[in-house]
Amino acid sequence: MNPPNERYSDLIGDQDDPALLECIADLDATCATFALPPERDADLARSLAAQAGNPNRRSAGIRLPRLAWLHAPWQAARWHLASLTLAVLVAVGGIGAYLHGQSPTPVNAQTVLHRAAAVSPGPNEATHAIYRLTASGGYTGTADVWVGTDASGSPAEFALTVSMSKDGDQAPQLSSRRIQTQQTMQVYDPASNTVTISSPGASDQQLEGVFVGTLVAQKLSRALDTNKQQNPFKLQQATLDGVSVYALQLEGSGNQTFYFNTQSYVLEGADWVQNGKSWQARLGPNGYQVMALSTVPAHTFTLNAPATARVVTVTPPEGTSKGSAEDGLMKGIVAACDTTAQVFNAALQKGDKSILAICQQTNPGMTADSLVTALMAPFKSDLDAKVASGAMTPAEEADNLSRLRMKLTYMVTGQPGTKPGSK
Amino acid sequence: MQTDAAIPWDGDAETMDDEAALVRAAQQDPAAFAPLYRRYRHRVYAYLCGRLTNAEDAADLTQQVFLQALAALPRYRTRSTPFGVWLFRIARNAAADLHRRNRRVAITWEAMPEELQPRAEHDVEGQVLQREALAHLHVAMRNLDPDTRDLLMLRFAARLTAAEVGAVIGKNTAAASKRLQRALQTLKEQYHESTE
Repeated sequence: MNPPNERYSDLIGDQDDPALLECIADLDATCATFALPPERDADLARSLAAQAGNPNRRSAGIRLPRLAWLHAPWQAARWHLASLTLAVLVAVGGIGAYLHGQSPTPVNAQTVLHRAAAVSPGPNEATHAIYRLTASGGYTGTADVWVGTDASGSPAEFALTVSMSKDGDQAPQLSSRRIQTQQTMQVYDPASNTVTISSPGASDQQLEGVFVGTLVAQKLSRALDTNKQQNPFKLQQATLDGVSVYALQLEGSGNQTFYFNTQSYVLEGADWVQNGKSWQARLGPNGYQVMALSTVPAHTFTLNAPATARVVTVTPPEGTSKGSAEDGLMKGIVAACDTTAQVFNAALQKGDKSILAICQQTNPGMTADSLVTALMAPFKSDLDAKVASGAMTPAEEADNLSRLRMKLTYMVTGQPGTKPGSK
Repeated sequence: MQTDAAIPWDGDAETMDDEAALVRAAQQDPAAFAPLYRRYRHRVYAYLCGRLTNAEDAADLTQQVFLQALAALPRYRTRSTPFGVWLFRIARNAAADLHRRNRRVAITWEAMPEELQPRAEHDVEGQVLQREALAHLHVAMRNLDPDTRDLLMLRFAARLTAAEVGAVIGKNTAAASKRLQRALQTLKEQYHESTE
């Protein structure tokens, strides 16, 4: 495949506008993440074959059952496993554990979410839940979830272990263990035998955005508030494994359904589809257990990864701003340019030189290619590991690196202060 | 993650010439439609994702487009219009029909809580590309008018050339190129605004 600047030469022309080039690169990269989900692909191929075998069949009358899946447009198509969504689900369920005594009177979606969002765990307590998991393709397993609270009652520690298998064999590609505290997030990926440690900043963000059940419910509630005209949630009272539940379905988002116990608001289960794979989580027979934090077994909130695991420390962006990603690359720039973050930032803020030009002030021999290569090194290393583990093909790695190189090239050669879309 | 194999480009082992041969073969035997489907499935889907903002609808409509195309293939004439242009006209019309027929706006990615959206946790490239760029791109694309978005999706998601885009929208190549450049400029400006 040609690089983007060749593919879009008709749009770029002779322009030397890094912002435009970056805009093109990003749009190209984004569009490249869209792929027809495998299940839909297979269904459609079968449908076409059926129609081909029966030419008199009118296409207008053909409609396969909708196979919902979670892949909203403009999202990345790649996801290692369901743990993130799962974490959301179990976190929402976790807050329900504190809602004993609520009336089972009919409620609307907002009421369910408000009740969940309004409740906080007790101080210095922990909850434990085990969900039975099934995923299409014959995968089964469990999700073991611990949530510990601090002295103020805020969730402060999380441990999530997803163990999947198929036909008695472990499925490491669908398994993981995640430990999150207010200081750090650690994820062990058994498929690549890699531990990824995120920076405190990222952990805080993840902590608030993903694992704090109260905040999850609040965010869902806010989503409902912003869609008052078209309620995105469909609420029904139903029975799940013999338990009366409120089924809260997020319409149009991949058929995600949360099943809340109508008495306790415990999350009894959830359904969702992801990357073409249908998932189900059902609360195990032991339900939720609430206990004093002091009684939690030792090592519950430690990763316990194999000693042979490769450790990757990632310094992710602090936010979603353009500048934050540059912050994430600062270490690489400082090392490659033989400078300090303070000196570099001071030069950058003057606004009259590109990153490369600033770099050349302290490292005169530096070229754009060399700088980009240096900045790509940690990324390449990580991708190499993925290829070695079989989690990524060499072609995929090359594609990734090609896009990354293009993007970084624009970044280091563009004029300072330019943001995507700026002249 | 998409690869060349997953999203076939105009390169691959097949050329436009052999595409015409594929079309002719499929016209003679509908069972031979499979290679054409494989060539365009992800591109059609990607285009519809950009048009509809609802992936479920995009997948459904992708199905509808290919079934319609297969049904209409006997009437298609290779010399009048490239197959890709013909196919994306079907897709474009189908998207427009859906908009007219069904004004339901399900929860879209813009309104989805952040934690319900997939993210590439270990993907360092995603750290760079997604976190910063996609967030801004989402905003920028969302703010585009439908026609502008359509143009960009035809070029970037459907991966049509400017000439092909022109053929789909009923403009000549020069006009299509000019529109595309304007659309890109608009996106760039929106992109810029979203970062401020």
